[in-house]
Amino acid sequence: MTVDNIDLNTYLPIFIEETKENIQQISSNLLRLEQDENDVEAINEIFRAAHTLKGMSATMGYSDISQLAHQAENLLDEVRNNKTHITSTMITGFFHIVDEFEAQLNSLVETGEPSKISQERYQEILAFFSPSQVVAPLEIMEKISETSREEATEGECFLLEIFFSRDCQLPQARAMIICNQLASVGKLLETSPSQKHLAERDQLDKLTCRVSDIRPEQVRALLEGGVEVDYYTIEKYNCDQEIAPQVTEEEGGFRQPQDSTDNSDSHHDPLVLRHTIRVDTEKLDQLLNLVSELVINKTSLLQAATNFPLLADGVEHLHRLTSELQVIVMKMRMIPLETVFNRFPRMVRDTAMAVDKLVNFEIRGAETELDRTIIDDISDPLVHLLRNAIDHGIEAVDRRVSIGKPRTGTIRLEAYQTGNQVVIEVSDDGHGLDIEQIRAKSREMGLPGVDADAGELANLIFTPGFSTVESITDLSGRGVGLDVVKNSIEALGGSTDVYSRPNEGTTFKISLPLTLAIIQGLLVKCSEEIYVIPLSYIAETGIIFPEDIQTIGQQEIVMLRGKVLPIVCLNKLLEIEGPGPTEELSLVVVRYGERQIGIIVDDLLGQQDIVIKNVNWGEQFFRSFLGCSILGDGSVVMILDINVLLSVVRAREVNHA
Amino acid sequence: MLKQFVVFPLEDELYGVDIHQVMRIEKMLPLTRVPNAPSFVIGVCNLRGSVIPVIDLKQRLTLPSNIDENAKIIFVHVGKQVVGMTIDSSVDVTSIDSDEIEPSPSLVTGIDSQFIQGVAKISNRLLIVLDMERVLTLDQLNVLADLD
Repeated sequence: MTVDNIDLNTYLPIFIEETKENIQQISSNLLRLEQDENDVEAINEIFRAAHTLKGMSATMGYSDISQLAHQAENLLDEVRNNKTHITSTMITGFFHIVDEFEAQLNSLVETGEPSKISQERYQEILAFFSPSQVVAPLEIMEKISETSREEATEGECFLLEIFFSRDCQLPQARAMIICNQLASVGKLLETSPSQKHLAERDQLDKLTCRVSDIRPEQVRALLEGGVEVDYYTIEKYNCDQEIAPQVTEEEGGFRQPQDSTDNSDSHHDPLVLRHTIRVDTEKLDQLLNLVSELVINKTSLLQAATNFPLLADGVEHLHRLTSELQVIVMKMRMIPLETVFNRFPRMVRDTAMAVDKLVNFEIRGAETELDRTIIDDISDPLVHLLRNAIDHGIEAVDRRVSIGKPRTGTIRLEAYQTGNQVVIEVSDDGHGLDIEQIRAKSREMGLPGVDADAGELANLIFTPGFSTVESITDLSGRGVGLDVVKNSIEALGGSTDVYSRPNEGTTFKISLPLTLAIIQGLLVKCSEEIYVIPLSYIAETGIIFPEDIQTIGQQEIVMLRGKVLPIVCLNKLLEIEGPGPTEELSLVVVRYGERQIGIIVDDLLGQQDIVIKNVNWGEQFFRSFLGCSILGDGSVVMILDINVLLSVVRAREVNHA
Repeated sequence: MLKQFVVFPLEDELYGVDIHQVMRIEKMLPLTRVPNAPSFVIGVCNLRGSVIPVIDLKQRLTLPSNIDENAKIIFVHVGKQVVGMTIDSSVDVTSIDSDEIEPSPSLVTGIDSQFIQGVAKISNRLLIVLDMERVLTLDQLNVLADLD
């Protein structure tokens, strides 16, 4: 098997951008240090930046830069450990290092290669520091090449699992380098993810390789010399075996292959740098508010313009511009989920070790983007679900072996976008939920739906105080249950669901709105009042007649295509005064998780962009609603919270039961 | 030290709110009812692009309530919270030396003493200075969120 040449150029723009930031960081903190030589914070900042720079340049294979950064890092470490004190000569020396970084970077931008740092220049820089502070040059690269190819043991196969540390910069590139190095020392048989897919990954925490004709010491030398490998395992392996099925990748469905990466043979493309700036989120919020106002005004103009054909073109254009602006502002607020996901591999590993289980953790779709206000709040619920999966989902190793499952359990965290929603799934291949135990427990707690099907029963585990686990462990089972997860997801306008199959595993599914600020909504009218139903919940709309409505217990229902659909009448529910609907009723079918309910209203007024506004006083009076919005004519409307309507239906079912 | 108060009559008494807490005073605005909220929350209105809850101040102070077409809405802010309160028509601004405000709520008035910051005499009438934080604090309220 030949090893594909890595095209590190893919990462070059990122490297350049980040290095610029790090250099900037170092020089501004050097200036601070010049003012106050005891500024510990500044020293730490420089240290961090130098460390990052070292790691990234080593990954990219720019040994001169990384060596210089290594030197700087060591010098600072001396200072941090109070072994030496900052002098003005040292600061000047550091500035020379910064100058050299800059020179290297410029050369990199212009020629695609950093220039070589001459020995004289190196000595010139080091002259600013006392000889005792200077350390021996870094030997990562040399060490690896020395150990190559000698005394390979033939025929022996090893399974190598390499875990990258969380602060590893560009783990994909690191992984590619490791693959290349492994291939140069021994025979690289197979990797997972495959090398072809490595470049397409945004995130990587683990690389699995099958290698042969190599000695473990060689692997050790190769991995331990390098930076940012958290830990690795190596075990002897039967060559004929495939890498265990749970780690073979079936990539492709979630990411479009990028056409641009295919023509990698055109080597010296001029670098297209993406310029980024950092913006205060408050400014983004202000911008969003202004755009929201614009959207409201646009809507009122659209309405007004229907009477003035002359205005139609202009208003249509305004409509398009506003929509584009809205999309851009929304995108500006979106950040990829990987910012949250990145911290999980380590957590899962530690948790699994704590409970003595073997877990293979997979992350997919970390590039999926969500509004930052939502991202900030989903971390805790996900931690909860992952811990649950490890603690309750995955069986102990001997139990797994005894029922013929692979020793290592798999937990998968997967995110993807469907329409206006982002779905995050946490699934395990453990023993699944014990539906009978849930049924017994819900009977004990007097919950409704004891006779419900398995799907409905499974969702009862979100009920406060519901726990079928007898033992309390350090990790979960202390009463802070799944209801907390459900509540925090619902507070974000999302919904939770659980699917389970005995002995095959459990999947928790979280659906979240893409954004909390502007949604699509259907305006409905009840008597003289107007309400908004979020479009993302609507399954269908239709017309029914009063005689279609039947009553079971306290619950009104209609038959829709042979299925029972519980309905709520908005007029009654919201105590709306007025004559109420007469011969024709409008029915809006909404779905929430697996459930569907029908909402009866007088009339449907059509759909439009709804800017969600929240009140900042008396929130408890608005709990039945998702928020308020302002329509084009300036009037305020309330946005219905489907979950609240559903709880009304549930309450009626309890009374009936 | 002189302090300025926005002064308005409710029933037979004069009430005052520290002028620094008053954002705007508007004529009655179109309100949208908030279903299932307690009756003193009479709705929400659109104040220059923000959705602001409006309460019936007389009801909140346990005075008999009657909102007529002359009613005005006085928008006050406490911290970051903004609330509109309906008041009867006329509004005035008065300066009072803070020394003249008696902290004693022992004087008997028609409203719950917890809402009173102090009282002062202006031109032979009694001015009740409202403690806005107390008026807008909701912890002791029973929240009626029962949809059924």
